[in-house]
Amino acid sequence: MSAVENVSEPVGRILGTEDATPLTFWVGVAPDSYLQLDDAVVVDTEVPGRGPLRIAGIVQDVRARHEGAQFDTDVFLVERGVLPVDTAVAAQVVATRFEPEVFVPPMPGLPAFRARGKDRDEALYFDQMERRVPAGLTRDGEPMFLDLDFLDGTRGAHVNISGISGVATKTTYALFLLYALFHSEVLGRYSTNTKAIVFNVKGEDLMWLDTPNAKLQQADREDYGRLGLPVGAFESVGVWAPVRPDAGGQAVPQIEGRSQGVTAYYWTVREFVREKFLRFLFAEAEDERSQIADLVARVESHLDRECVDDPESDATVSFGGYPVEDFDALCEVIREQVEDEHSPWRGRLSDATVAAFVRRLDAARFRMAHLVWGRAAERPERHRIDWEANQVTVIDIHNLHDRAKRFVTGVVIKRLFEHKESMGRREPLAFLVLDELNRYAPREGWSPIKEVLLDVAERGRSLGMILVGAEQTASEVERRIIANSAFRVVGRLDTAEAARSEYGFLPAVTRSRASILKPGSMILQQPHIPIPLQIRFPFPSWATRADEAAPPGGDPFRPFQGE
Amino acid sequence: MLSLRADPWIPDFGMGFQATLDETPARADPFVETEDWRVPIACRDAESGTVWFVDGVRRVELRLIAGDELGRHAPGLFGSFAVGAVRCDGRATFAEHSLGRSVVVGGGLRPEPVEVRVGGAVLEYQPATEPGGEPDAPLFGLQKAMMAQEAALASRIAAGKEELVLADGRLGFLDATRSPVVGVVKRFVRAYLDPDQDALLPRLSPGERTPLFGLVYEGQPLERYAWYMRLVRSRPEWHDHAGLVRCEVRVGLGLDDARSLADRVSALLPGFAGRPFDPRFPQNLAPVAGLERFLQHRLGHRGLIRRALIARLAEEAA
Repeated sequence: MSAVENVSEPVGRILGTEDATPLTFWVGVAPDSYLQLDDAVVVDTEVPGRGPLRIAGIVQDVRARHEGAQFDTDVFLVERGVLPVDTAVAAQVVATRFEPEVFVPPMPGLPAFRARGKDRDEALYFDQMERRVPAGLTRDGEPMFLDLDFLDGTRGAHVNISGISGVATKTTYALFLLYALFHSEVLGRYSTNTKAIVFNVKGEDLMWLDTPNAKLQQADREDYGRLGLPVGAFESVGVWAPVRPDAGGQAVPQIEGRSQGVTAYYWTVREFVREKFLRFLFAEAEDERSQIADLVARVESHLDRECVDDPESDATVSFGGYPVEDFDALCEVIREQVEDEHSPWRGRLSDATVAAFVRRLDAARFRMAHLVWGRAAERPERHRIDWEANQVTVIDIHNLHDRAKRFVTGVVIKRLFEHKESMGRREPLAFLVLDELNRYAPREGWSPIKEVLLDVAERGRSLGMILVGAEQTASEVERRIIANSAFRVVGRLDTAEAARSEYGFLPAVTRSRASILKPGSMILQQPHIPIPLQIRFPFPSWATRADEAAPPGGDPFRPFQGE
Repeated sequence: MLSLRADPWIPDFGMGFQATLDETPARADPFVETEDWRVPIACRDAESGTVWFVDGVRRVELRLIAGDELGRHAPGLFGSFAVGAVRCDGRATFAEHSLGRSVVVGGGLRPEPVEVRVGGAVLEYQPATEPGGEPDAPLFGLQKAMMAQEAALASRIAAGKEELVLADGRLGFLDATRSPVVGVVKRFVRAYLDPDQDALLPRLSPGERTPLFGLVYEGQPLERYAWYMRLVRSRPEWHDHAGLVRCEVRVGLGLDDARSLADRVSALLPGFAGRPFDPRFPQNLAPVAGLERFLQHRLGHRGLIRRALIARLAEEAA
């Protein structure tokens, strides 16, 4: 950046024909200047008896009009060169900062400057961010930051991203934030121990995070340079895929695009019993806490109490003196017990409740029996998802049936939450990236996963567990999860969705802009800055598809460098 | 020292006076170009060079009664005027403009200059005297001051390159200029032509004109050639002379130049006809209407100025 670009430049004067208020004012743009949306503007003024005051703000709207023309048809006369008029351009500025805090309007006539360099940092509060995380670039290529204090739980936590699938690039932005966190210096000494768990819910987009993107252009590299980030792939990635259902006793990952470096995951019957995973088979949303949930809780505790560890296998338990061979056998045990009228497992619950319970148990076990292994498991600890091993752990669930998806996410999030809870301190942080939040924490109804996610949203801040959630429509996600997010990010929205109250933080102009955002552009609302700003983020420097994955080991750009 | 006292009425009332200066009694000499007044002359504009429009606006801020120490009284006024130009060369742009402020008193009484502060600006009212004592005499003086400034501006522009200057109203000056100056008179008050020639006027179409005729004001030599032309097609409900303008050029141009100038102006002016919603459609040409609006605005806020003037007179009276 040259020195000239670091100096704020005069662009116009405060209008006297529109009311200037402390929060909003208009700048008449001088004929040889321009202001565009999101430009940072500063105005210096003098308050009688209080001394100098600097008001900084962001351009929220710009308008141009003919002055002296009275009727719509005048424009044609003007163009024919018959009617003389002046053209007036004015920009509406929303104040972001008063230094010192004297809330007076800027006086009409005062010169307004486009903020550059230090002035811009002040207008956007970057000067007050001790630990800033690159968050993207403004449209004119200036870096944009967010304050780690509001992300890591010091003063706030969590990110929520909404937008239409496919166009809004929600997951890509979530990963860009992770990349920025892990590859800048901002995390300091916790850098290596900070972990992230990313669920891959659609396609195999996230299976290549550890591979550089072969399609990166020079301009993209410059973007990373401006943000102070290296260009490359995620350094430490563990990729986990569900075990193939028909592998005949071999723990082979179920994945198409990638053959190497993927570990198959499953749980054991013993874990299932001891850690009370049964509830995650019953994870679809219910109207309220139905009797089934009571029955599930009873069965979980009876299982845990009445099963003893199988002496011949680490992976399973025995019940009534007989080993439980596999998950099907476990389900049979459960079914027999609850259907036995005299068994204490079912308590006083009605036949109808038991029937509903068994029906759901059967439905779930058919979909995800392959994810819980009994005696067939060899060295099951190697197939237990281990998020400590790598900085970023990608858990693929895209091929699983909906019930199995809920089971995996529920179990992983619960385990992670309990792990963080037992650590008793915030650092090192654990990030959880989860798309399709509306499926896991819907606005209506109750489910065990929603309960865990609410725990994360409400207590994760103090526990250092940070939720980076995404969904197509924030209106369908539990309010408290959205409300607890310090950062709200919006990609392309459809206009009906944008009109909902969940996006009340977007001013009308920004709301309209949300419906025309291009992929790679987002609107970012952060606690420091009173209005949301449009940003774009660089093209991923890691591969997001098989054809972007550079050949392993080699420099993908070598062929272009003309050796 | 003259004492000035305000008339509390808003000056718009009781001012029937409009533009007697535009239409003074004169005699026409219809045969300077041709004796054939049976058919209109169709005009075609060969060149499409730069055209300037020059106009002025005036406003009475406050009417006065002035009195001197001898007990003589005369009407007076505080007035403002602005003159300016629009340059049309495919684009219409505001060019030079200037403002004038006058304190005019009739009856031969001479006021002092008056300075008034309005907000952050200081307005200076230059003194002027009119010999007449009738109520409209000061307005006549203000009008003259404005016209003098208009004429000066038109002549300044006409001193430039080969361009065409169209000045609003009667031709204000008759000196030779490098570029031709044409006076364009909107108002049709007085019929200068005899009925024989006048019969041609209703038959004019846009882009057509009458033959040139000499216009001789009472007691003056022949100084102007004039012609009538139509700006827009007539409408059934209109009277015969609606939609016409009279143009004037100085005789010093020579008949040939005057004729080709008349052809050019008659061909191009319909393109600048006023907008249909203009109260003075179609004669208030679009560039002129835009200019007047611009100049009116430059006069400043009427209420603020009036209030400052009254405060000033109150100070003097105290």
